[in-house]
Amino acid sequence: MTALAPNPAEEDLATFLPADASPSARLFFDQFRKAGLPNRRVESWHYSDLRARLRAVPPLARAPDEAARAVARQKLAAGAFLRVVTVDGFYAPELSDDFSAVAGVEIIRAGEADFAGETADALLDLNAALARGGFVLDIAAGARVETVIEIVALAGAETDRSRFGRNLIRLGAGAHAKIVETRDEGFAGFGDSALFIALGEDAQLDYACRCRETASVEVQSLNVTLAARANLRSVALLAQTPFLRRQYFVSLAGEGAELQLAGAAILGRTDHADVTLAVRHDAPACTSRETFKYVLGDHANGVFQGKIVVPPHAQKTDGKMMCRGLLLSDEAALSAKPELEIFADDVACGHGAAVTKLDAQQLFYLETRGVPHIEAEKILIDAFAADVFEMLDSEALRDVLRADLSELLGEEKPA
Amino acid sequence: MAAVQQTVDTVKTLDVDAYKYGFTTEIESDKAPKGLNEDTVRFISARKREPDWLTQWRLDAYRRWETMAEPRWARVDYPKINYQDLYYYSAPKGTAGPKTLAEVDPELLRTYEKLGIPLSEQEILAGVQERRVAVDAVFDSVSVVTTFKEELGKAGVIFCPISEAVRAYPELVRKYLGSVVPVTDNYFATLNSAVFSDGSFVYIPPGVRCPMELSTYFRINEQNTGQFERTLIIADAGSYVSYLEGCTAPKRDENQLHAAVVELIALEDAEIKYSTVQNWYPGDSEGRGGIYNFVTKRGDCRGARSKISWTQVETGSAITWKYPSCILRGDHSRGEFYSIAISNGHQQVDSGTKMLHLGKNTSSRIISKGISAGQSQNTYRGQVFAHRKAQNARNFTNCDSLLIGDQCGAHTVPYIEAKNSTAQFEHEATTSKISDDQLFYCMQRGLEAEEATALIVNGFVRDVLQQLPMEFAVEAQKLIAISLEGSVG
Repeated sequence: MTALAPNPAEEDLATFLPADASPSARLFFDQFRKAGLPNRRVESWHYSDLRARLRAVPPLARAPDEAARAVARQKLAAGAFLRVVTVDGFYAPELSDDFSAVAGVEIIRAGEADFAGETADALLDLNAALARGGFVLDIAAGARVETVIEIVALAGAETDRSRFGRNLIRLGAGAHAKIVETRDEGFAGFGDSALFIALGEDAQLDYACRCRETASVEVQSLNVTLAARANLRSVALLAQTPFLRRQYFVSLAGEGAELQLAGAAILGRTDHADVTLAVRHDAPACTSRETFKYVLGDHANGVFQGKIVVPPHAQKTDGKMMCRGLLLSDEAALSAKPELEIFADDVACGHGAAVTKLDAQQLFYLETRGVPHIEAEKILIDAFAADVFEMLDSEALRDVLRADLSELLGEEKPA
Repeated sequence: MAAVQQTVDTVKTLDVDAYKYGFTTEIESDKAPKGLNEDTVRFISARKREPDWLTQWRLDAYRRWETMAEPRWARVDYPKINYQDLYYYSAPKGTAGPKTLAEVDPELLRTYEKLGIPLSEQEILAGVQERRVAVDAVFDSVSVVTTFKEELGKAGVIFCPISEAVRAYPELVRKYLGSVVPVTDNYFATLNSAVFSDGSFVYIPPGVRCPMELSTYFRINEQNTGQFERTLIIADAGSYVSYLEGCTAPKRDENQLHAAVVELIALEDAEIKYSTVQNWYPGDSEGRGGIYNFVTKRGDCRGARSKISWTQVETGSAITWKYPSCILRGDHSRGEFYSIAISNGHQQVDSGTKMLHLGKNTSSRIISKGISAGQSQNTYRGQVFAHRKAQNARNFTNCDSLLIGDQCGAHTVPYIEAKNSTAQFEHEATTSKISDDQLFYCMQRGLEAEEATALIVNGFVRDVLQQLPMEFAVEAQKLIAISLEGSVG
């Protein structure tokens, strides 16, 4: 491969590494420098050329001061859930709710040692090198947390910033929890965040993510590990994303673990959303279901890259992946790459992908019953997208996502 | 000119070597020296008495090739190829060929027997040197070829070696050569453009339905066309042709590297059906030797309502890197790809297709069946693309993989890119093993495990087998059973 042209953003990023950075942070940063910002020649970034998109990065976000907290507080509307708040990627206990009354839940500031060293991706390396001051949300073994916990990511700075949030959700053996993450950091700046989810044996987590406002260039990495018989149900609703890459690195590490990953992207304007999955069945007899749906209007660009990896020892694997796209305009585009990489023989794996437009017959059916064309479209889009929310166990989480979806469809039709 | 002197020297040493093995025939002196440089390219072009434009075309390709890097993205793993250590014209026969059938690997002979191939043909296929019988056979088939040629001539069909076509139909060759797979296309195609040895040229005039299936099997000089085959098929408006490539018998071959290029052009209302059965030497049970098959095949549906259909049965070669594609340029054009890829032993297959929808109301269909056994790796890699202006593009893809044994791998890498809201793409893929229930059912009725597996596999690939011309389908079915031998139990 020919040498890449220098990218000024990389030089900016190099200045972010503090003089007193730890050896491991330096190591991660060196790894990032070596790989550079991924471009379209990097297979896993083929459809999201970050190198071309990110030519400059705004200054590094600092730990929030009183002024920043005041800015964030304005956006923090009263909510029904107990909240953990981050401002510019830093855990803000002053804005967060008091969890002392909830048995089995503990929130502490994260240290470097809390995260497993992960080097699967250049942007994850960059996050590991530069992230400071995230939190660890610990749910004790056996705890059944009935109340919904909300993680809110807000912006504090008045101007563009580069943010590197890095948080961990850890469920002990047999713990149950319901978590919704709300990402609302504003449309400006650069974001490279990482969320680690580690489920102990028999743990169960319902996790919903709503991307309400994402930075002009944002990368979200999820690093998930499931121990034996653990069960994760995860749904993401992506909307209004100028340039979003959401990547999942999942390891089904314990026998009999179950994973349900889903997402819906409602995109318009020139939005770009890329969901990339790397699901490794590292233990036998694990089940995974991945379902992602895209509604693309205007000049929106949707990307789905899914990969199920089954190593030789992971017999009895059951994996199914599905990607569906609804194109509402002639300028919208969807690129899908659902991959299977299978080295074990006693498996049942499959994937499907389908792209089409709204069904004329269904529209006609509704219109003959007096539903105006616009409404009929909304009904069909809503039904198409909301379908993925059903895999969540928690009614409360489903309601949050449904409300968001109808708000999205009501306020602005993506077409 | 030091390089020229060097070339002359090399040729001399080679001739001496060849003599040592008792080869002083005219053909033997006709080989280019080892290695690749501009002189080699000129040498090949001069030998074939090519016009200047073609020599320049080759040289241009060679210069481009020098600046390119070998692609490494496919899921195949092989030692680095030393391109300077290969012969690029008339590969020498003196080094490795057996003298009589008795010297041929008995495994190979057993396979011929199972396929029911006559003794004389066995000798040709095994590359036996002193093949008195085979020579007769060659002459026999030459006469066969001549009879066919007459019939084809009546219909106006041109079917000849491409080197002959360059001389006899220069305007046709010049117009179409490299128009589907450009010189710059990819590393192996560019290499082929520089040094292509020979291959077939087919032209079907407007409105003609080719009276017979065309096959390279009838063309005996096939054996010497060697590593860098170039095939060019043009179906003019409203014509139809069905073309068969390869044969079902495993063919002994000294050439490790095969980098062929196949270009198909279908004009308005024309239809081309291209079937391949590839069963080159896959290497021994330890994975030593075997052919590297790096082929670029592409069809261009240039005219409205044209159709190109690829059918392939891939059972041979140590490494297969092959993506027969269709460019659906004409409105209402159609592309089809039917594939069976079987890998056993240490074989590695990375194969698939590309369907590029550019015209309006184009449709395509992909059926791919991958079977991996032994310690092989079998990858389907395919792309379906709808251009912004490709109104009503329609695709259906089905790729199924079957795993036999716990040491092999089956992988699927589809790329689906829709840039148009009227595009309708469906893709489905499954991977599984042969179900115990099915095996049990067959064995309960008295079949051995191996027979039962073959039966089930044949059922698994039936959709594709049905696309093959009848004679081929029967042989291919036997071939599948043979390819999977030793993978059960």
